[in-house]
Amino acid sequence: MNSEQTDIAALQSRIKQLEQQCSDLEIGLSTAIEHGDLVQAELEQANQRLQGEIRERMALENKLRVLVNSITQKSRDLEVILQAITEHSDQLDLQWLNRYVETENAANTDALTGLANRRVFDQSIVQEWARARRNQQPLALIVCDIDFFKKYNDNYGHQQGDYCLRQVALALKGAVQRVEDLVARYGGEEFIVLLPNTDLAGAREIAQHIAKRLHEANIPHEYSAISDRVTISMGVCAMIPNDSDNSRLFATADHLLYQAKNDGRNRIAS
Amino acid sequence: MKQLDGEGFTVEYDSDDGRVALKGTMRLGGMSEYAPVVEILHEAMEQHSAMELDLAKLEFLNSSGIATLSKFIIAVRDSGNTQLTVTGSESIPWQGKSLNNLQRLMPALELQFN
Repeated sequence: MNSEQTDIAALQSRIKQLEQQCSDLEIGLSTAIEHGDLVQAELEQANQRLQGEIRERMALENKLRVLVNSITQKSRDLEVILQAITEHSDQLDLQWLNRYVETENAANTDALTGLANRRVFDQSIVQEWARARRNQQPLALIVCDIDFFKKYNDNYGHQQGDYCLRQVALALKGAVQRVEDLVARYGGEEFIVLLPNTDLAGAREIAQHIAKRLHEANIPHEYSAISDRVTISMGVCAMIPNDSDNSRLFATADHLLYQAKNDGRNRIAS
Repeated sequence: MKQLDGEGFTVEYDSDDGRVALKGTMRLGGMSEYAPVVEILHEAMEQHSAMELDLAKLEFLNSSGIATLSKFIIAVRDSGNTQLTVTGSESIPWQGKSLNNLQRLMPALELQFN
């Protein structure tokens, strides 16, 4: 009996222990479930928040991409505009420069003969006179005038007259060699040759050379009283300047030209 | 036909065929003085799906002028719904390079030389 009672007591104690364990487990289980629900809810919230952030960031990224594209396009446009304006300005500079050169040439050139004009001669004689005075070198001048040019013009016409002037210009141009020598049309049928660092003998030689070339050009002039072709008269002089008055040079050469004309034309007076 | 006359230049807008012709010598001071010209250009752009900018008789254009045209070309390109033809002249020295540069701003621009 005692033994049976002992077994029952042990069993009852065991049952209680098991019931306690069962209750503990149930509590643990429900706690775990509740905790899991909470964690899941938190995770879901976090997930939603993150997805929201991702969407925002993607939208922002798209906006940035559009902005970058727009800035890139604007930058490219500005580069092209800058190049367009720069190249355009260069073209305009060039256009103005060409116009300037043309105007400058037109202002210095006798349109008919292509020789320098009187304006260039007026400037050159001042410079060359000063240079000759400084260096104490002779400056020579030849003043030329076509003989019986009025008769030539009246009989052959102005067009032929222009041709004659161009031929005389060629003869003059061909007779001088140095770059510093100046051949210019002084006006009408009058031409000048300014020869720096040239004495009277040198200038006479050039004048003879001009006459020879013109003779060889053989421009017919049946209305000339002295020749069958166009001839010119020349006044030649050379001076070593000792003052600033350059007018003496031209006055002397011009006077000699007058003398050559009076002496019968087609000659050189010096 | 709408016409704008300035010192040495004329802007003609033929609203029937969407043609704006710039003629003469344009040397207005700064882009602000080009505003009346820009207004006509924009009017043509808004009223036509295809327009022509005729520069064949525009002998001279200063740098503000080319900048103004550049901005207008960009506006046409960005609007995306106007077809643009630019007519130039081979005998006017500035047009060769400058008009080709305008085309770089809008590759769909049709460039023709008389």
